[in-house]
Amino acid sequence: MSDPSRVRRTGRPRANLGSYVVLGLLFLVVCFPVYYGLVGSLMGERDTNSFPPALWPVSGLHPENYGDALRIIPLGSQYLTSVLQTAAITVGQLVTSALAAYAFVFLPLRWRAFWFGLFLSTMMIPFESIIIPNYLLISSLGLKDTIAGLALPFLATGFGTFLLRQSFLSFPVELRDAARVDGAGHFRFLVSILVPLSRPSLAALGIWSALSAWNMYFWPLLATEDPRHQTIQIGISQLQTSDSDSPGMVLAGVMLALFPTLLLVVFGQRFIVRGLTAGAVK
Amino acid sequence: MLRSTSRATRPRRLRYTVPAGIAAASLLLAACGGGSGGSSGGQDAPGADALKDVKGVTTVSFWHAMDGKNAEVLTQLVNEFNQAHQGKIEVKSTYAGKYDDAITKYKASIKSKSTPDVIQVYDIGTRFMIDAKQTVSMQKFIDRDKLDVSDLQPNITGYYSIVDKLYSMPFNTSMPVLYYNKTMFTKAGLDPDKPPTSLDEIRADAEKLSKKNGGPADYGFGAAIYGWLLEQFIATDNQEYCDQGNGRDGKATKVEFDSPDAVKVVTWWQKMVKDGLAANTGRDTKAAQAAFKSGQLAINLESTGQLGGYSQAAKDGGWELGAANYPHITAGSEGGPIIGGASLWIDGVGHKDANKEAAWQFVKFLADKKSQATWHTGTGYFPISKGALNEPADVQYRQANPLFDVAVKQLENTKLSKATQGCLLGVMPQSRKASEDGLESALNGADPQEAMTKAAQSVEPLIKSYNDSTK
Repeated sequence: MSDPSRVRRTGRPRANLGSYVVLGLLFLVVCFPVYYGLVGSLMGERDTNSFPPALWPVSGLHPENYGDALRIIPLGSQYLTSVLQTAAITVGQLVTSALAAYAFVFLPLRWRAFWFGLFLSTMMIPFESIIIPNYLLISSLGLKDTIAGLALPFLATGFGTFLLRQSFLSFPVELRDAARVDGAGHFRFLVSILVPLSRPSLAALGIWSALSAWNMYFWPLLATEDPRHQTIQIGISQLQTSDSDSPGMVLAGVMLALFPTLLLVVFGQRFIVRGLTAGAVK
Repeated sequence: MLRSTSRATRPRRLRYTVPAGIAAASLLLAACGGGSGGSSGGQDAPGADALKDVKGVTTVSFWHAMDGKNAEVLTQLVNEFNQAHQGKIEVKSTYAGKYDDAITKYKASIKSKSTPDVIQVYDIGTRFMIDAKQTVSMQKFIDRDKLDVSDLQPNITGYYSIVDKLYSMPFNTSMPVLYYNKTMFTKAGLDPDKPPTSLDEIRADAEKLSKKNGGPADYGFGAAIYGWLLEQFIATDNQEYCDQGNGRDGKATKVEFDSPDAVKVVTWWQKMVKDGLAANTGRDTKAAQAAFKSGQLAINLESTGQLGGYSQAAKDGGWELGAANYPHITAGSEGGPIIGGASLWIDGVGHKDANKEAAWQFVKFLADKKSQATWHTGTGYFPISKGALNEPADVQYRQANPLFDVAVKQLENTKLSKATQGCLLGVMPQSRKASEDGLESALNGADPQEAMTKAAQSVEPLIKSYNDSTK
């Protein structure tokens, strides 16, 4: 019966090797689109249209793809619009979700479960079905073509409230009691104690909101009219033509739009993972 | 490889279905609103002097769906117009998304009473635009100015006209042609100057061209599962695609792409694929284009819009490109292809007379032979003006691209009839998709007649609910 330890010892390196191979393959799969986006953005039509597709620029580099992309769309101002819209939506969702979640967890509301259920049910209404009423409202308020118009319909989210509620539920009651004993009111407790200690969940929600705001397509298309106020996602779709194709130029635009999102993931990933699992494995 | 590319486009399709659905539902409301909200005067042309007393700049908002290189040329034309009308008219152009998105955006703007002054709508949105009752027809401006429109290609304006009344100004126009790889024709022992003209001839040539029989191409023939191509076959056989005289005598009530002629095409196509003579590249037009460009296919059906890209690919790949008339179902049948593309609509309801007039000036400018020559040579779209073909820049362009003359001749030789005008249908986008469903399932082995009948029947309730909502 002294065997198990030996088996384990000899088995471990092999298992490790196996998991490294699997992880390595997954790594390649995940990285390939980014790699191809980068390389493709420097390819001419001759490479992108060849068969089988070229995996690196065989017939010369074409950095002018970036210039072409910038000439067709006002990428700079569209970029700015996207950033402002994303920031407004992210901050808005964090604030409203945190306040709503706080109310659901720490305030003795009557019918709490019912109200929470009602909140959750908003997650089941697809945005597409209320896009027209939203559009009519925004345009009657005269907010078309503004950052406010782009962000307003998205400032509150059922999902965010749900996510933060789960996280707040696991908040130690002792800490809250201690804060109360020390004289902290609701707001003080929320701002100085709860929020700093719930950073991972807030970060997870922030990243989730930022990603979905950044990738929005249909709403910005409806809510804007000036090309400079359109978001970068619309700009990129304008780079792609159905009649002739220059994938290099489209990829150049994609890379320019991808960059900030990528940074967000690289620096925020540990928060995403930590935050999303925080409520689940209580 | 080829098939997987087609799968990649599915999410995109899905993304559009939801907005399209909403849009369809919203039409009903839009149509009601149009009737009660404004005076019918909104759809009349303003007086010719509408701009005379206006002080300051009249701003014309213009929504378009032009992307890539086309967007660049369009911006250039807009700038040219603005410069010529400095201090009087300024056109502000906006990319409103691809055609489907643009029309959805437009539908939303009808309800919030904030339609643009000019909007570019694809060919298959024509019936909707008429039924939405928002626009001033071109005919009203033409009649008011007693404008001589003999410069416009009648086969192009035909699509956008009902009983000689021109509703919108055609703008970017393309036509289908047959492309073939001349080098492969020579290699296979075929005469490179004798392209196929009918289904039987394509098959006969494909037999020699396909790898299966020792030919130089992987597949002799290949084209995308694209409803537009099927519409073209029906028109070249001088048949109508939908009833009520292709929707031009009255509102169409059913589509007829399950007619014996259409089924003949589908059966032929299915057999070609089964026998290894044709590639099934799926619905994504890009997949079939890429296969032809890279020399896997010898014969391909595509729009004139591809001429530039194909010529470049031929030059890069060291082979010679040929273009010919769109094939007929049976050789020698009367009829010809239908034009495709998009046209410009001037909004009237809720717009000031000065804006309508300024919009008309802009539309007239874009339709002018000079602008059309710039447009044609810059984008490869077909010029709607006959005179554009004689502009020096255009002559030069066609000397460099002699294959374009094939398209010019094809257009000029097509006899205008209800069949070649094309079908006007409120739910044309959905109908085109349904015909693709039918064709696709047939190519995957279903019985052609059954598949097409099922597809055609699936469109009927859509047509009915559309017609009911626009009564």
